Amino acid sequence: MSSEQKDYKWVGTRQIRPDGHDKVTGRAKFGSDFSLSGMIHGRVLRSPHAHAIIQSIDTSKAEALPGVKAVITSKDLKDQPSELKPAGEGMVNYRDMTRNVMAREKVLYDGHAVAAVAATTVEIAEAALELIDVKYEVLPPCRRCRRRDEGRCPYS
Amino acid sequence: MAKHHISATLNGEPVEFLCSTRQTLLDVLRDELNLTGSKEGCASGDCGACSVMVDDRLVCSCLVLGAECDNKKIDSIEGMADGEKLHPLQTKFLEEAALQCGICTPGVLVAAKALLERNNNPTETEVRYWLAGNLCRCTGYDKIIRAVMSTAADMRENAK
Repeated sequence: MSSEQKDYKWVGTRQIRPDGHDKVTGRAKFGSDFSLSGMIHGRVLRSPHAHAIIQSIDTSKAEALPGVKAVITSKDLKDQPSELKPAGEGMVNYRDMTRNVMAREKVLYDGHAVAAVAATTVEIAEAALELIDVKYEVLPPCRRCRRRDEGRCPYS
Repeated sequence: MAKHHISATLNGEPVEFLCSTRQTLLDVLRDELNLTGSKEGCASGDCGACSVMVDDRLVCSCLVLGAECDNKKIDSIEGMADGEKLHPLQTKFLEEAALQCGICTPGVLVAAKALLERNNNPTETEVRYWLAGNLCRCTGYDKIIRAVMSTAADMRENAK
């Protein structure tokens, strides 16, 4: 290290972040702070099981509820081949990512997204979630890796 | 269903609002009164991002119903600064870089202010315990704790 001191304009100085004032006063607008006319609201149905096979999902009653604009499940997401593809700074397997975004054959954790609803109000979206009928075959939770030999590995 | 007609005091000003039975105080602040400084992180009282004061008690506004607030005194992050003049905690958070994304910041500030109003000479342990209900996922807690301790020291100095 050189002992020579240089007076830089920015390097080595302590700056107040430019968005700081808005953030400490609560004025800063984050995505969910915006409200627009005609906005619809989304809610996600999540698995109550840590590990289960999805036998069927019946969304017909939810779709029929007045105010519901759309209901999606993994069927609406195109499946992807299992291969590593470049994604930004790293590599991603889009088959796995597709299943992470929304459960496909199985739910892989308690809270895994199973379906999503868009509706004119939050209340209608939440009511629609309760009308979605998911049939699960509950499996033992997988607490460790290397259980493939017991047929328990969620990814097998 | 009929809505509840609530009269309260919000950040020192009288306020009236209508809310359904199921709306939380957080829903009322954000959706009815357009005060979006209080954040919904978890909606289950775990994260503290929606912290406000109700009758000088620190609460998670996601766990309070709007209908419970009739004749109550509510203080949110929006009332912390005096116009453009920041509260000493807000200034210190900026100086100590005690925030990054800023989602937890309003709740942390409201909670920290409640602590310093009760105890202007807290130990680091007391600050950490008091703020244990406010989760931060980016700055880390050290800078937040440092900013609160430093504000407390300034306030003691100024009180002399």
